[in-house]
Amino acid sequence: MAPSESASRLPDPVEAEPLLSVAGIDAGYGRKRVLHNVELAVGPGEAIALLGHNGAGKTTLLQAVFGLQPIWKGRLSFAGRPLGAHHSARAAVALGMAMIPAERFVFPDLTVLENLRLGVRGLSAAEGAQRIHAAYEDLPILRERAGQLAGTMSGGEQRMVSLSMALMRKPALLLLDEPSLGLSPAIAEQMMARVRRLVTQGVSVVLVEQNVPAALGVASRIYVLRSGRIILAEDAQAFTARGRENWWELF
Amino acid sequence: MDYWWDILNLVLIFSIFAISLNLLVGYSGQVSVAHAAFGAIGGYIAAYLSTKTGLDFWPALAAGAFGAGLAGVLMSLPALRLSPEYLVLLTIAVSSIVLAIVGAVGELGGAYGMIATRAADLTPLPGGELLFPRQWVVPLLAFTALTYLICRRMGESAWGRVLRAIRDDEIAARALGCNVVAFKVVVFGVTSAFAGLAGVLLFYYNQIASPSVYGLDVSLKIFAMTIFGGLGNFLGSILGAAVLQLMQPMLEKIIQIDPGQAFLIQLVIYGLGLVVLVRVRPQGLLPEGFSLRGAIRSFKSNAATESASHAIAVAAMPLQDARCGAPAALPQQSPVILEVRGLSKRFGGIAACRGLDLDLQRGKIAALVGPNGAGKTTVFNLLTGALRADAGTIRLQGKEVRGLPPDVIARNGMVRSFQNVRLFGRMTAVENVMLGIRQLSGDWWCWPNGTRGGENLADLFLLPGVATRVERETREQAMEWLRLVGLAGVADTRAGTLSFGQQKLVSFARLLGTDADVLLLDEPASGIDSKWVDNILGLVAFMRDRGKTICIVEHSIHVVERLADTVFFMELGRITARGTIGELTSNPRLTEVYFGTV
Repeated sequence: MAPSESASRLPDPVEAEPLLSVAGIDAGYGRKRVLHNVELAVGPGEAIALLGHNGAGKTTLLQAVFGLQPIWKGRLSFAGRPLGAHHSARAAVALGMAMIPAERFVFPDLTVLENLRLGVRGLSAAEGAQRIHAAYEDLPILRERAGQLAGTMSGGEQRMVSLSMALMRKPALLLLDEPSLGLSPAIAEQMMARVRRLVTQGVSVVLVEQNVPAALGVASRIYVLRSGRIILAEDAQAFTARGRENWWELF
Repeated sequence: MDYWWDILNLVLIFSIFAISLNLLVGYSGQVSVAHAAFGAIGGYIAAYLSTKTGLDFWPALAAGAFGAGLAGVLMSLPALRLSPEYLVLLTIAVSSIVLAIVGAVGELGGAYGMIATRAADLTPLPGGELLFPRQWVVPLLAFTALTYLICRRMGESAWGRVLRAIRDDEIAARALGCNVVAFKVVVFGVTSAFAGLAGVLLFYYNQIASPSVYGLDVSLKIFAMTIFGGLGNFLGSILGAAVLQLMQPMLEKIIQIDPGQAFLIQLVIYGLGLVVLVRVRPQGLLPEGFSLRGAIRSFKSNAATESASHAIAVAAMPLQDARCGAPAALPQQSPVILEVRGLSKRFGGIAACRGLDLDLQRGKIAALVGPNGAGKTTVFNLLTGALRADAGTIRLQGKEVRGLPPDVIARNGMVRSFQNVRLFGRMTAVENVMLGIRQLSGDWWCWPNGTRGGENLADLFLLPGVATRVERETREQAMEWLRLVGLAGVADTRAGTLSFGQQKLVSFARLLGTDADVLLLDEPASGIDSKWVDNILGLVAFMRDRGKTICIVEHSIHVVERLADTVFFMELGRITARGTIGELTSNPRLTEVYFGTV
């Protein structure tokens, strides 16, 4: 996998200016306020995990950051640029974000190659071809299955296609919503290993994950949400040190 | 002068079509573009009987209306589970079939139709034979008034409230115990019978029944009249019929355009008018809930009601409200109210529920806890009949309820709330709660919904006193429940405009109104701002103290800890542990299952 465009910067989350900063945002659907005064920051090359029970607002937070949900209150900035309350996913992609939703992450009625081509939209033809070629080098199965409809692949293969698609534009920040959902433990671990490798290559990651130990294997810091508020933000090591039996009270 | 009488008569006949279609489309949300075809059924029955057998006007009228009503009941059967777009296709098909049959059968005159051999004769009523348009005005006024009164009585009553609930959210209506099937069948039957009546009148008035009189374009015209006038408002339907029916003669006579051109200009105006109306006033000329008296009243006290209706009650809830009854005295060992054994359900190759056992006790709160995808919500769907279980028993107070439809299970005393609330958005908060409250009765004439009062057509038309009394009591009770959850101040606000927290409270008031013994609460505290959570949890505890049997599905362990007496741990479609939340969370294996392993 080619290194991220942001990788040239020194990945030091504590000292460096945060890549993504979320300052006191509220967001929701219709009349339902889901997020309340959420604060978080992601440094360049840092991976964080969002934990919490179902309905706590984790997915909504990803969507708000990516511009899929309007932000009712608060500020959002990415790579030093403020993003408006109605910033769009198009702008988010242009600035260097990519998101993989928990469900429907590939276009099932398009072939693998067509899916990958959607990932290089907006790039020049030569550049696009070159990146798809790079993706093939990275994951030979993509070349072997280029003509196959994405929807006919196994769940794990579809996840791999979605990840390659998301990485086509070399994002600085990857938003991952439950990447191991529905995968067998072995395949889920492979997926997590790929995410870990991306982080070491300098890509920042916001990971939503139900499997807490798996999330702790990727993220260096965790945030726990409950009812749309962040109730805990701490180092992954400290969280692990609490012991599993003490996680219950946070969920 | 006869010209204008003729126009007036057609306005009246089409008012009958439009009013009855409004009951179907505006109130129950069942889209039909076959209304004129049902008119054809009525008209041809009357035409056949009067020309071939010499039947008199009144029996022919009754036969025509009855026949069309019967056809409407038949059409409702395939229509029961259709979404609006397929309903449009179905009704277009029905219209084509009816027109093809009457156009092809030689006995019925083929494409030329059947010419009447006798004029309408009102005997034994005064008026005698109706030979000139002028003579028709009074009888048609009477028929229109009758249609208006009956449809209004049905629409603006507890019966109509159920119709509107079905329109807004069929699943929620069913979950509250409304027999959706019966209501749909009846509303199709009644409205088709009125279409048949109008069709018979059209036959006698024109003295001919031909396919073109009842064509698909006529059905669409009736549909446009109803939309144009305003869905859910019968006066609007009359207005819509008048406007659309008068357009062509107005152009011809007043602006002096020759008939051929007037027809084309009418089409253009009509098309433009619809476009403008849809943009400017999507609810139609007279919107739902509009009445002259109400308009005058709201004009007079505009400012006052404005502030009152937007007042939001967040007052602490008077949970010990004596009028809502004292907590039931509980025996030491509370009896098991719901006993589930071996409940199983497969979706294709995936077992969502496999041999699940569950006991719920009176006056206790049980919680289903487990990792995502364990099948918790599926269990609720199986218990309430929304999904059909493959095997197992569900005994509610000793009675087997597996396999019964959702509304029957609800009427047997087990109701559920929904994670996403599912209020009837276009109805007011108090109407929502009233839909939960029903006077169940075992009297045979209360079949099929088993209710007394306005929700029962026999009571509605034959015992209006009972209907009025029950309606008043229902409203009072609903207000009590709203007061209990602290939302009496927004009783007359449309539910869809309330905040999510308020909607959740209204849904609890609605649930309490059902007086069911077993309450299944799907994520009672999810999506709620933390300042409302205490209110919600207090309310659930209040339900328990009233002797309800409660089961919650809740992802927040915190909420479970505060509420549940017994926790059932669910994984992969079965219960693998039960105990207090403390017992379960100190179990290392369950901890691993819940949070996952590397």
